[in-house]
Amino acid sequence: MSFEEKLLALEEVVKKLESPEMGVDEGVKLFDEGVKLSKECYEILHATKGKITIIKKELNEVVEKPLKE
Amino acid sequence: MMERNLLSVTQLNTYLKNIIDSEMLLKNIAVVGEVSGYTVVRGIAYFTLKDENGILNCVLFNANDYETPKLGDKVIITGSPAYYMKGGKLTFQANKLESYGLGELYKKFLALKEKLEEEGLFDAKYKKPLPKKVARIGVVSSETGAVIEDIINVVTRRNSAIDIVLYPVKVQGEKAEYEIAKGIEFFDDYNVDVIIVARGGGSLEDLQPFNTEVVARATFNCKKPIVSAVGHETDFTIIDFVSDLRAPTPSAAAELVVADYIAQIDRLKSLTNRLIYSETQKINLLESTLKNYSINIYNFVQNLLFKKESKLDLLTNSLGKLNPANLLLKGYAKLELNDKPVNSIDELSLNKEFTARLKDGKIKAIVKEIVKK
Repeated sequence: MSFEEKLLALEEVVKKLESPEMGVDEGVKLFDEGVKLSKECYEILHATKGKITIIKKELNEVVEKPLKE
Repeated sequence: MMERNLLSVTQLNTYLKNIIDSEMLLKNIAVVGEVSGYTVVRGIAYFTLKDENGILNCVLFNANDYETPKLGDKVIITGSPAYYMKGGKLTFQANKLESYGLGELYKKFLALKEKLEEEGLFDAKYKKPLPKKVARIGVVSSETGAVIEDIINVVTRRNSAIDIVLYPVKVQGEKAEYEIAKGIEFFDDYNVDVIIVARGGGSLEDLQPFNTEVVARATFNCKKPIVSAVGHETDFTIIDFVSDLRAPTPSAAAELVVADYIAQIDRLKSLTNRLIYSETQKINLLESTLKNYSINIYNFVQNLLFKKESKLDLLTNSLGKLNPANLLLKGYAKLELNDKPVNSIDELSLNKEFTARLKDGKIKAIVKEIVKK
């Protein structure tokens, strides 16, 4: 699942949990699922850190180098 | 010879110089007048400023930074007057020269704006929306300075997964406009989702490259969305009219570009909060329900026990009353035949032996007579 899909799934879980008809047993199961999804989303955010690069011309070739070495 | 107070030339000159130097009202003032005799020697311009009643001798130290004014041009110079003792002359030392009224640059700006507007380069129908999903941002700006730093700070503040690619350009001075246009063209065919063209604040001269036709056309022709952020919030340059979105500052440009990403992170945070809240709330509710239940059950049992107990008491009480021993105490006797109570005269017959139990013992007796009721 992509970040967006996980986020959507999490939203579904929260909506279900917030509904007054939610039973206790099912609620606990859903809650665990929601915690897992939220954790995974945060992990995706923390794991992928954007690169910061600069375009340089070297020997008539354009290359991308880290901005701060 | 009469005694008089005599001053030497040096004394008077020193006095005059001191008066002028110490007068705070003369520091860093702006003077308007018409230029004449403008000559530049080794980067210093010497000229006079006139109006209908007089002239002012002037020097401009950084003359190479300015276009040479023509004879009779009305200009504003900023600086302070200084008295030169050696020449016995007052000279205005200027560090800034501007044209009075509409400057040449501003006139050019207006003319180009009008021309491009007529051509339709500013039309809203050509404005491209910013992409929702941004993975890579191309930035056309200076490699040094606060602009790229600001953009990086805004984008990375939230642990961003977004890449930033800088195409370094000169953002002012000669030929800067060609570098900027080239940067835009480069990113159009490069792996980026959106382009930010940015520069910090500066004078109209400094912002000039962003007021050129070459940059305007490169911006217009670019197939990718461009956000422009040039100068301060109050500065509008030609690129701002052509770009798909104008941001008041480089930081704001970055905010706009990553807005959707930030919205998603906010959504995640809010969902996680709701998740935890809903569950804690549910648990709290459950807990209080359970508590209520147990209180009810306790009360119920207590009640039940109480009822039973009182019934028991009642029974015990009645039982006590019913105890035959109590009857004996009152003087009654209990008849028994072979250790079984005698309940009817039919169980006995004449001369039959039976036992009569009293409170303090028993007697053996014989039936002498039977009288049926």
